[in-house]
Amino acid sequence: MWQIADVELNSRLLIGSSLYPSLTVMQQAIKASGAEVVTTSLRRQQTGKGQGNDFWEALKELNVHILPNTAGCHSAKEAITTAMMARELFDTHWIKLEVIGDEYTLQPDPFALLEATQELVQQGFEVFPYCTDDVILCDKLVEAGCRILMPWAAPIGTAKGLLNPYALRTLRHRFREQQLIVDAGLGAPSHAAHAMELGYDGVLLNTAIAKAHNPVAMASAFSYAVQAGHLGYHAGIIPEQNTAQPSTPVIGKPFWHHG
Amino acid sequence: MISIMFNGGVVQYRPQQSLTTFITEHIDDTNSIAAAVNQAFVPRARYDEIILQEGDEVELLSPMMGG
Repeated sequence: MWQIADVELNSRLLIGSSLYPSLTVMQQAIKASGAEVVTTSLRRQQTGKGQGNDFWEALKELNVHILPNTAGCHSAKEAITTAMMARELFDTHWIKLEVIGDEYTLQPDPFALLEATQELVQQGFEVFPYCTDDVILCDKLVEAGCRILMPWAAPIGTAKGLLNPYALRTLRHRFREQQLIVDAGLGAPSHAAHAMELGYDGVLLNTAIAKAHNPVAMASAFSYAVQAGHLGYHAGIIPEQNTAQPSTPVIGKPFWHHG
Repeated sequence: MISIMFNGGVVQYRPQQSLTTFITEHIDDTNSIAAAVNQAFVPRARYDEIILQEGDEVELLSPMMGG
């Protein structure tokens, strides 16, 4: 068990609810992942009567913790308004705060992110900030009241894995008291294991599972990878070195001739 | 009639109507939406107080898939 935002969880994998081929596959994949936290968004209600919300009904059946996001917001003001709407709609003070600063890379705007964080923390939100791996930004977010940091591994949906392990490792060393979740840019289960081997508390992803040929099997694969990485980190990974060291004992080797 | 910007489109609506009335007439499941008027969040408890004016922008958002 571990705890994030005052909630106890078993799984360290947090998962998105988007891009699945169907709602049934989404449900099956979320179950297979073991994730207990699922991200959602808010979008315009379809105009007209007779429009149900099958997605929301399907998600509610899973009885998971909802982590709404502010995806698509490009200013602190938009993100704050969206967060307040999310709090009422999903009945949670958790918010995955995204303020996009660049359309091409979907890179977070660090200045607007910080501004929105300061306001939302004041209003009692538990902010899960989607941020870059910039140590100064993370420091400011913590100063603003964040207990959780969610640096990207790579731009959203790129599946590139950890582009800058050095920066992510630095964040882990620097922010011992905060919970660190790698969010975005993962493609393979090994990427998730890599993040966890750096000592990260969890991993949040969506596309790598939802767009896999078999999302349900991939959800299971990521679940194992996160567990493996976490266990590996705590077991103590040996340091890398440049020279070879035989693993089989040299003493007693047969056919050994002293010259 | 007055013009209301509703979720990005324009609708003609009767004057002197509350946000509650507007929502009820446009949405089936009023429990699964959150509202903003002129880009400011309006808590559910305040829907009755908001009387829509010419040119108001009403946004009604509902739960959606997200990553």
